Amino acid sequence: MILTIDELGKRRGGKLVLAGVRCTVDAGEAVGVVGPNGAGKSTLLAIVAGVLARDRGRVELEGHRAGSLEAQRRLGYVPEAADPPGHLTGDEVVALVAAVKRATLDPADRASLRLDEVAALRVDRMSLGQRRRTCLAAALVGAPRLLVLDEPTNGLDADGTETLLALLQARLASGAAVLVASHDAAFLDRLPARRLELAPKMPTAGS
Amino acid sequence: MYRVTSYAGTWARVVGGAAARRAVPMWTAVAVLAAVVFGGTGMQPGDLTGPATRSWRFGGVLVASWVLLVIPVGRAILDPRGSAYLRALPVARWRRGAITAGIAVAAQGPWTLLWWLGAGAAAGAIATAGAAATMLAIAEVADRIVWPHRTPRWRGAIRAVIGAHVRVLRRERGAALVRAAGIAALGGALAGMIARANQLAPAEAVWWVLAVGAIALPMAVGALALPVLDTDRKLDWLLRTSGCSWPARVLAAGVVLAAVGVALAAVAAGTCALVGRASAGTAAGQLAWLAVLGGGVGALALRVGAWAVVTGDGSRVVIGMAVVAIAGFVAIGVLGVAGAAAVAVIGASIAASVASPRGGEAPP
Repeated sequence: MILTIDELGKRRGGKLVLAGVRCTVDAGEAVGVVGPNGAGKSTLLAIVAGVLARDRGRVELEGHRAGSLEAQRRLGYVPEAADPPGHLTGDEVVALVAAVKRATLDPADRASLRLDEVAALRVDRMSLGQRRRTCLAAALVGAPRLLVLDEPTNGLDADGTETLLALLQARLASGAAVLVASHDAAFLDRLPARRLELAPKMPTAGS
Repeated sequence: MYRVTSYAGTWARVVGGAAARRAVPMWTAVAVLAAVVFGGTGMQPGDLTGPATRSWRFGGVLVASWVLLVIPVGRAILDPRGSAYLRALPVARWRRGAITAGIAVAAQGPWTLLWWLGAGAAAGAIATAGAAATMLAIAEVADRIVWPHRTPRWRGAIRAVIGAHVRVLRRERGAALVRAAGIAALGGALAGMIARANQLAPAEAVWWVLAVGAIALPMAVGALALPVLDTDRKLDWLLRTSGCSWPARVLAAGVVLAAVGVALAAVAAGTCALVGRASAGTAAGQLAWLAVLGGGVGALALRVGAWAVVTGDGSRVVIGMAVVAIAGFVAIGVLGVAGAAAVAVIGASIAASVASPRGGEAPP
């Protein structure tokens, strides 16, 4: 079991966003978090990634509490509004994550994400798709056990989406897991991803 | 006629606004330094301009310090935000050039005042025109410099985060860095001038440079505290999801600001030694104690910046660094050179407390 979410609850700004969410993700499995806007998809992913605290419940990555350093070293995360500092170049963003994780980016992943095109380009001068590819490359550093991706196809062209699919399928085949929030049903079908459906302000049980 | 006048007014507002945003903090810093130098010692403007015309060494340091201070203003004037649309309109370039030149001259205000009061109106006009022209020429060249790109090879989280901070300071806050160097150079030159004019003993010369540094360094370093913390905030999700601990991030930000403080102290010590014609022993003492003071001021800037970020009020950096300046000045007044060590020790202790609100590695 790579990811365990049990009775997860979260309030934001006095509003109930998540209640009683349960889900497990096994090695080699992809789970697509779906639901209308405001259902709490991004909140759920941010909690799993450890950038947002939960109010109640349990979230663990291979037995380590979400947000702990042990858990963080096992995941790669790309938020929906992935926005690294604009003054850094593409390869500096990746080098920063590589230095923190003491790991490297697989040259095959680097090539398929065409990182060399944006290596010397500052983030604030990149297109949305280039920025997204850079953040994906940073998330893939160290071949994490769990990839947490929030609307990963936003800003990607058709080729970029195909590349992403191939990358994720390769990661799944190698025994990693993927938790992905997306409005793109076709993308989730092709991954393929089991669905975890969230409803706004409603206590929802996962799989 | 109506159309051209209207265009000129709009262009003047765009360029003048850009110049004012860069010039006002610099003018304020110069005013505070001038209050210390002219208020505390009874020196007159002529005591600066006179030696500056007679000694190439002092004159060169004074001019270089001023030009360093105004280069950021020149860069803002040459490429003001939101000016692309105005440049595209069919208006003769000389009209824009004349307005830009006028604003470049106006930006030299304190420099004009110093030379006018110290050496007369003609000297004031020559000094102003020379400084404005030099400022625009250097700013024009600086804008064309393209730095080569190298893929970094960072080892470990702390070095990587330090590398990211250094890049933001160099690429995004070059103006603040240059201005800080200018303030430090000017402060050092004034302290050297005081030492030389009063033929101070080595121990007194060290005390004076520390006293001036206690005022100049917080102003110089303070402007860089918010950019460093802003970079840390923007890197937050990337660093946290990569497993970078909070203490490592605090240490990296503290090292960067302390290093900036030490580097600015070295600039101040250099101009002080050059102008004051200090012996090697005196210069080494000034450098060592100023470096201790600069490191402490950098550490305190981290705490002050964090306070401003937490409260969402950037003006608290000004208030906080003013408190640091006053406290440092008093410490040096009461304890002498040991006051610099006290600032360093207190600064390191207080900077370490930035870690406590987040509870180490715990998520927020």
